[in-house]
Parts: sequence; C-alpha cells; structure tokens
Amino acid sequence: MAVVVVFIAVRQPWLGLALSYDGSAGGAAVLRSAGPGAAIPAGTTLLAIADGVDRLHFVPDDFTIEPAGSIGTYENHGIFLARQERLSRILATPEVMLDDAQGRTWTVSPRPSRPFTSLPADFWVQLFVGLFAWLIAAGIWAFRTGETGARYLLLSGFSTLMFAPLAAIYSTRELALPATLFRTINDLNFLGGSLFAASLLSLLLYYPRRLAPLWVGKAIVGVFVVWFVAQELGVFESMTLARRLLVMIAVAATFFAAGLQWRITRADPIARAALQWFLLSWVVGVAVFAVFILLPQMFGIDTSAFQGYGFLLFLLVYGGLAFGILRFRLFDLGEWWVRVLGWIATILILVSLDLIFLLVLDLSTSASLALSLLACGLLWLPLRGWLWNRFLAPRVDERVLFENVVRVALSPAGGDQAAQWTQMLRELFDPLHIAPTEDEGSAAIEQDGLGLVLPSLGEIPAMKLEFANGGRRLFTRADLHLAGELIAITRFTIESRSAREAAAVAERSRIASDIHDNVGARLLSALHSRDASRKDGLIREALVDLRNIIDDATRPGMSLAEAMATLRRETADRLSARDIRLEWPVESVGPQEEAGTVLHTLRSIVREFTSNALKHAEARTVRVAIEVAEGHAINLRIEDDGVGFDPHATTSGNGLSILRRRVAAQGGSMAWSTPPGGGTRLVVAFPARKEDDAA
Amino acid sequence: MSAYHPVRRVGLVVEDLAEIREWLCDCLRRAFDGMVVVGAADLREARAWLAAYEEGGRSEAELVIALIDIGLPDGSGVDLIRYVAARHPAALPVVTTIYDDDGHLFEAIAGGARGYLLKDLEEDLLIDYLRRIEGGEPPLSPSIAHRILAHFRKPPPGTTETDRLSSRETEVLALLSKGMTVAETARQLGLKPQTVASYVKLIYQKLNISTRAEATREAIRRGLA
Repeated sequence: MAVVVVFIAVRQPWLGLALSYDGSAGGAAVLRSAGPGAAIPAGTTLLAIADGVDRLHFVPDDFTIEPAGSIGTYENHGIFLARQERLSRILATPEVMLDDAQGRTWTVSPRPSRPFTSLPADFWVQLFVGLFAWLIAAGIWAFRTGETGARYLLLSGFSTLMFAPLAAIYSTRELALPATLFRTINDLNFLGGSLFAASLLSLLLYYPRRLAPLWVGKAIVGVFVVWFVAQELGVFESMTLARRLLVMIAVAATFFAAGLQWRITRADPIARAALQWFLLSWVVGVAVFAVFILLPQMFGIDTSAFQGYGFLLFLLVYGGLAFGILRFRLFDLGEWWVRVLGWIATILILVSLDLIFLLVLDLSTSASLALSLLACGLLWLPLRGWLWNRFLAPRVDERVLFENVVRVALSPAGGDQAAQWTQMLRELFDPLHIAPTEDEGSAAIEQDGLGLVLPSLGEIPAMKLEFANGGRRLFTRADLHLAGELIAITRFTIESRSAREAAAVAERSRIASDIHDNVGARLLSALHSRDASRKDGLIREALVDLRNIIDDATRPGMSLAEAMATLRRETADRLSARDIRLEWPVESVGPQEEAGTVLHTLRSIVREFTSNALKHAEARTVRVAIEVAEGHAINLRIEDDGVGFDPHATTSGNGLSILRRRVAAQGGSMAWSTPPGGGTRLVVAFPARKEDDAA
Repeated sequence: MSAYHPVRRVGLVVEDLAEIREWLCDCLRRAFDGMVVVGAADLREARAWLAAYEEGGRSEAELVIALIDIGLPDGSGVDLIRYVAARHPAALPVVTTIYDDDGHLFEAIAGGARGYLLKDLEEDLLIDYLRRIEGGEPPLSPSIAHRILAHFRKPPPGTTETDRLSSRETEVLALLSKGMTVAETARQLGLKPQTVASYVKLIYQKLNISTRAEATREAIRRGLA
C-alpha cells in the first residue's frame, strides 16, 4: 500500500516549484524553486501555464489542498477536476511555458517523475499515520479475532490506512493530478474517513461493554456506505455538506456512546481503567481533528493546509491505544503484545531505512544495509529501550525496597513482622484491599489482574491484594515478577536468620556443656581434693579449659593448623621440662581449615595423654600425628614408649574415660594398643563431618 | 645486663586483684634480688606513682620492670604499656594476663611490651620466665607468631628496610608459629637457642617500631601531626 502510494506520488511530472495562490497578486506565488524550474526566482508571481496547444490562467481553486472541504458544491468539483485534467496534460508535455506578472515567459522542461526528496514532510506524516494505525489495529485483531470490538478496531485501522496515505498523494501534489486519478483517490479518502467514523462509533457500542445489539454496528457502517454511494451518484448538491455532515454527526454520537460507557463501567475497575485510556487517546485525538480541521470546513474556512499535520493526532490515538494495552490490558492484551509489535516495527524500520539509503544516497546494497543496521543500532534500539524504561517499566527504588525486605525479614517473628510486610505491600502496590488468604505456594495473578495472591512466608500469612493503585490499574506480569523477587529475598533472609539463630543456640549449648564438663568438674575435684598441690593443679587445668573455651568462642574460624600449633607448643614445653622428647612433625598439624567441633575433644585427649605420660609412663619419647582425611575426617595417633597402662584398669574418674564418652558422642572411636617395642598407643578417629553439621 | 647497679632497682606491679598483686610482687622480689617493688591497683594509682617517680628520686631508684594487667578497672593496661615504653625506655613493660588471646597480646607487644606472662603459671615457672624476659628472652606463642608474620607480610606503604623483618627473623617466626619451641627452632636452623631468643627480642622491637611508624604516618595523613 505504502509503496503504491509513493509510486503514484513520484510518477507525476515535476517542475521543481513550490506554489501557493496569492489572492492580492492574482496568481500563484513561487515559494521555492529547484530542479527544472530552478531558474524562476522565489517570489515570482505566475499567472498562467501553457504548452503548445492549451493555455490556462491560474485560479485559486487550482491550489486547493482538500477539495472535499473547500470547493463547496459538486458542480464546482466537476470544474475543478476538469481544470486539473487540463493542467496535468500541460505538465505532461516536454516544454511548459509559464507567464509571470511582469510579462515574462519562463520555459520549463518538467521531469517525468518527482524525486523522493521533493515530497514534503506532511506527505510522509500521512503515510506513516496510515501505516502505524494499521499496524496497531491489525496487531490487536490478530490476537483477538473473535471479539466484536477488535473487528471494528480493525476496520478503523484499515480505513485510516485508506484515507491518510491517499490524502497524502493529492494534498501534496505540485500542481495537478489527472482527473480520474484525483477523483478516485479523493473519493476513496472520503470512503475511508466515513468508515473510520462509523467504526469508531460502532466500536464504542461494543467495547468495553456491549451497549447495543450486534446489527446496530453493521447498520451504522451500512448507513455510511449508502451515504457514500449516494453522494457518488450526485444526490447532494453541496459537497461540503455531503462529505462532512454525517461524519460530524458520527463524532457527536461517539461522544454520547463514550459517556454511556463511562457511566456503565462505574462499578467495574477493569473496564473503567481500559476505557479511561481508550477515551483519552481515541476520542480526544479524533475530536480535536474533527473540531479543528473538519468543522471549520463546514463553515467555509479552509483548514486543508493543516490537514496533513492534523493526521498526527491519529498517531496519538493509536499510540495511546498501544499504551493503554500495556498499562491497563486493553483488549486483555499485555506487554508481550507490544513486544511483538515492537519487533515487527523494528524490522519495518530496518527495511525502510535500507530503502531510503539505497535510493537517496545511491549506495550499494551491502553498504546501505550496513548503514541502516548502524542507524537502527545507534538510534532506534537505544530510543526504544529508553522509551520502554521511561514510560512502561515500573519504577521502584531498589535500595529502599531491599531495606524494607531486610527489615521485614529481620524483625522479630510474630505480629509486627506480618504488619510490616503488609505495610510494604501497601506502599508498593497501593491495593484497595489486602487480607490474609489461603496459601497457594506461589505468587499468582487472579481474575485477570484484579487480584494478586502471595504465599505465606514463615510467620507471615498468605496475602491477597485486590485492585492495584487504588483500583486504577490491574496487576500485571511485572507486578507478579516483582512480588516473586520480594518473596525470594524475604524467604532467603528469614531462612538465613533462622539458620544463624539455630547456630547461635547450638554454640551457646556447646559452651555451656564445655564449662559444665571441664571447668565445673575440675573445680569440683579441686574443692574436694585434700592434697594442696593437686588442688592447685586442678585449678590451673580449669583455667586452661576456660581459656580454651573462650578462645574457641571468640575465634570460631580458627584453623586446625593454628589450634594444633598452640597445642604442639604447649605439649613440647611440658615434655621438655621433664626431658621427654616430642616427635610431632610440624607438617602434620593439619591443613588451614576450620577446626570444627571436635577440636576441643582433640585438644583434651592430647593433654590428658601427655599428663599420663608425664606422671605414670616413665616415657622417653612421645609421638603425635594428626591427619585430616577426605571430607574432614580426622585421625589422631598418639603414643609413648613408656611402661604402658591398662585403660580398663583406670578408674571411672579418669580424664581419659570422660573423653572416651565425648568421642563417642561426637561419632568418633578410640582404640588403645601397644606399639612395637612397648608403650601405649591411642588412635582416635572422627568420621567425616556432615554438611549440615557445620554448627 | 650489667651486674653492678649504683642505684636501687624498682619494679612496678599494676593489678586490681589484691591477692594476685601481692603474689606478683613476691615473685618479682624473688626473681630479682634486692628489688624494691611497688603495687598499684589501677591506672590512676600507677600514673600517680609514675608522676612522682618522674619528679625526682631517679638518682636513687631506677624503674627496670613493670608488670601490667591488661583489663584494669579504669581502662586498658595497653595505654600504660605505651606510656612506659615511650617515657622509660630502660624499663621492661611486661603484660600479665589470665587470657592469652592473641588480639590483646599483639596490641600490647605492638605498644611496646617486652614480654607477657600468664597469671596461672606455677610460681617457679613464672619466676623463671621473668628472669628470661629480663635476660632478653621474651616468650612468643604460636598464635602471636602467626599474627606478627601476617602483620609484616603486608608492609604498609612507606616502610623502610629497617622496619621489615630479615629473612632469618621471618624463618624463626614461621617455625614458632607452627608450634615449635625456641630450642627446636634453634636445632632446625642450626643456631644456638640464645640466638633464636635474641631474634625474638628483635622481632618484638620491630613490631613496636613498625606499628608506631604506621600510627605516625596515619596521624600525618590525617593532619594530626
């Protein structure tokens, strides 16, 4: 369609003159000149045009832009068309003579076709409006073929594609078009306009609510078609009346229908939200066009010079419609629909840029493709992204949101947490109604966007939000996505917090049992010990235990190597005071990993064994080896070359028998043996730690 | 240390628990023959005594050692250690503590302490350690060695060569940090135990110098000095 329109427009002969009828000078003023007519200076008043055969004096009507609005009667229209025919015949000859007011005659050889660049901006505007309207209307209809409203919308898009680009051809003609062509496209333009008015009125009869039986819409379209045929057959005398009256009546009726829809949808936020945008964009755009372009023509004021740009209003109409779909799910379509259309538009823009570069810059195919891709990448895509973010993406301050989520998750479980969560949802979505509901496990949009259901989170019950933004909009996929993110962050934070609290409780109980088992037991023994030096020794041991407990608590991340180095040094000092050798290779003190829960037990075992070696074993050498195997399994081997001792013979109060119970409690095992050459060997093995046993 | 002292040697014990203060005073007297020992219960008393000592009497008495507890009722003993180290370089500030957590001890050593002692040591052992510290053999636990190593591993910008550890000192620290005794370290490196002990003493001093230089640089950077 667009290609045909451009083709027709450029196939006309070209003088290279921009002409405008000047009433005071009684002729056509040259505004600009270029191409074949470049020799004629701007400001020259041309009075007549002639070829070898025919000669015509210019009259004002020759320069009328929109005959339907300014010519008055069908009789005048016939005269106008006859003159257009004669003018276009003159233009089609190889040499054209133009007489100016000073009596000079300019001879111009018209080019057989107009260059693209001579087509004025309003030509492209009208063409673009037609295409844009068609794209939106067809795009909606393609996904909603069954709906009456969508069908009338399709008809309106089709009629816009008919009237706007066709008007572009004749309203931007240089001087004349052949009569048949002019008449055909001008009549079709009127038919398009009529259908547009009819389809708009019919659309409002069925969307968003059905106001009338289905035949009414068809009848309205029928009336316009009959009216069109009637005026073609010459039933009317006044062309202005014939071509404007019914359209204006339809526009008035449209307002009435819109008002009716507005009343009826009072109690229905979905339909209201849809209608709001629908009316704002559609009715206002069309009404402004009707009031400022069409209505003055009925009273004899020629507004046709602005008609081309007036079509920009229709751009507003269809643009608003697309926006309404995005924000308020007009026709129950959502963001995805605009993405699809944006994608199609990108392809169209790419192709048209390509064509423009190809034609205007006269480039090779590959170079123009590269250039259009470049333009698309540098201009269109960033612009599209910017527009998307600016107008369509919900704007949420992520930092504030994050703070809110953390505050909710870290506030004490119970009443306050649920209240804070509710408060945050209120601030985010501004729902009219928010109440606990049944937990469905995940967030979901209900009733086509009327409600948003959120699952329960820990102590917070599941919530149902209704009527977003105080009922002014519907919940969208973006809302659902945002809610999903919120829930994920909150759930993660709550779980982390619980895990941390559980770890702290475990740590506290470990410290308590350490104090009870070690410090308490030793102090109690000291209390009842009658031997003063034994009493002192027990108290010192209690202090050492206390120190270890504090050490473990204040430095929970201490590595096994560090803990073992301290133990090695202590053991070496104790043994060397009694001239006992320690064989404990520094390489075997364990890797740089966290010491874990068994450290305390390990340390107690080495100490207890060393004490025994010092007191009873008469040993000369103590050997220690600690290995960390796969998965944090720890193996300790400690032996001396003393007299050996029978572990079963020791009393139950013995330190090592207490340790045996602790090792067992931690899932480890303890085995006594006699190494070759005598002495005592103790092998302790702790199994690999389980992942969830990190505390 | 020279065997002849023309003036009387004075020891200071800063400790809030009366029994322990008395016990530490006794230990000092036993460790160093003829030493005059003064006890202070808190920072205020200690500062008052130091002020009087600085006023006069220096010709008759000389402060040679100060045993200072870290957790005192009116503040941290580390401040007092810094003061003694700065104003009385001839005196040995020594930390006496119940907990050997490396955080406090490192801070104290960096502040100028020349040794540290655990207060639950047996008396004879404590006296032995006191004599060793006085003889230039400060103790160094594996975890403190570890921390000092980490401190010198990333020297702050602008450190001079003398602020840094020599490779021998680093070796000594590395072995001590792995739990080796001074004797074992000496054997491993083919040195005399006294030599290793003197390295430890140097390491103490370098840590003090390094952190003091760092503090000064920081003060200059902030425009305080």
